[in-house]
Amino acid sequence: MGAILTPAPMAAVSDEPIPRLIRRFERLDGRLVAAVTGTGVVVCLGFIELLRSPLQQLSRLTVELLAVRTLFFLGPLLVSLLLLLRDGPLLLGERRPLRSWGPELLASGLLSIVLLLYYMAAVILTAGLTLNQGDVVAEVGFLVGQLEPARFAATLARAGLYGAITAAICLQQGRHSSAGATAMASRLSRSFLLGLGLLVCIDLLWTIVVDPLRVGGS
Amino acid sequence: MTPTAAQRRPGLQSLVVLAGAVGLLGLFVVGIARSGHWLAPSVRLQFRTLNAAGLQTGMAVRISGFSVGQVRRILLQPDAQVLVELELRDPYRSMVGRRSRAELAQIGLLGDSYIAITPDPAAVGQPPIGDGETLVFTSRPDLEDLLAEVASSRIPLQRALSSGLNLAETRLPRSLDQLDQTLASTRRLATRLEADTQRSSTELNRTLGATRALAERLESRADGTAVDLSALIRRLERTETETRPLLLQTLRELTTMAGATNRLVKTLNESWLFELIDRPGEHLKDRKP
Repeated sequence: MGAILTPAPMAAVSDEPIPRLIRRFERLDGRLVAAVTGTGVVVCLGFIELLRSPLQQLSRLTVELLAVRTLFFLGPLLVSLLLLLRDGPLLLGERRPLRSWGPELLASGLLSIVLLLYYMAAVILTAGLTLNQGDVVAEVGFLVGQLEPARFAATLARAGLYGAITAAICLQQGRHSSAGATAMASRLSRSFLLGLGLLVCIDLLWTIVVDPLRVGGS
Repeated sequence: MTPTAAQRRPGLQSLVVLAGAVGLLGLFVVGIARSGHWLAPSVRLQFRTLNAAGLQTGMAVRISGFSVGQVRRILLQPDAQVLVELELRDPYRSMVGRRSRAELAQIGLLGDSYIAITPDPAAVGQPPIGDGETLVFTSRPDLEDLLAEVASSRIPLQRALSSGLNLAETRLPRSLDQLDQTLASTRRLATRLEADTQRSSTELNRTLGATRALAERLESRADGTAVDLSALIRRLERTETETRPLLLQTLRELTTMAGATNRLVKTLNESWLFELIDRPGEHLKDRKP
């Protein structure tokens, strides 16, 4: 996690939108992907184990589908928080006016979607490998086939939205604070807590209002 | 590490990660498309019903329990009827005909609901059903109606059960006793049959052994007789070969002797001696002058 919390070199900061986007994408490296993928593997394994022990009467496919769907629901929240931990210091160090937040929000949303895809792949592969009965490829294909298009698109959209929200929180926190290591740590901590609370509230609203109306019926 | 190298390495990594994400997105989309049969040609059918309860967009359409499509749209019409549009995959189009019916069915008691289409056997070999054609929808019996029917049939069922119980109480023990007796006698019969069979099999084995010995003896005798007979025949043939010239010679001599005898008899017959025997004294008359 030390690498994730490393801030970007300040010399690379530019005011142009495209270089700012590229700068954000250049921070997308194997360690971040490994962290997201590892998170997916671990939570999927743990979730399947939790489901399998008390629910042994349920079929293998039920456990797999339940795990995949639940973890897909949690995915946007997890990857957005990981992205916040990774890029939070970078965003907190920038004191930009509100009207120039666009490239950062867009980059955070896109990065969150990219990370979510790796997280999804890790969850599906883990579920397919954990409970497979021989044909792993067919099992993974079956699990991918069980993704409803609307729900899949909604998950990607949520990841993008959450990424943008966490970036906005960091940029907002960066505007009102002073310099210094302690202040930076404090802002990051506050951003994380604020982001976590806000995303959980949005997840709750999504579950209660949006999901049954727009996605649940399909 | 130089700044240039430090800037390039993350760039390459980022491109690889981005390419991987694009690949994963493509895999997900292809998997979902394959599962949803987005690329397969399909035909749209529809039916109308008065009640949309239990119908859902995306629910499976099955023929003979096999998934062949899904429900695309459910629309409430101005006349308060519900129009349901189905998407049927093209390979299964030929199984559906004008006499096919759609009905709402369910897998088990708690399983998913689906639209079941009854296949039309007459449709095989006929032109396939057209796009947008309407099927007849048969609504299944409502669960409340079924429960009411069950409730109404409760009392007769209870009566039938109690009478059945009475019958069982009175007749069943007797039937069981009889069954026990029958089983016991069957067991005795089987034991006796087994013993008889064992005895018969012993005697049969003995008879078969004796028959086999007799057959072997007869076979050996027949072999000896055949040898003797062939030797006799051979001896007879040899004897015939040996005696034939003698016989021929004897026959020839007999013929010669018969000829000589014939001549002698003829000579004698013509001689006076016989006349003397036949008419004694006549030869003397001739001699008297």
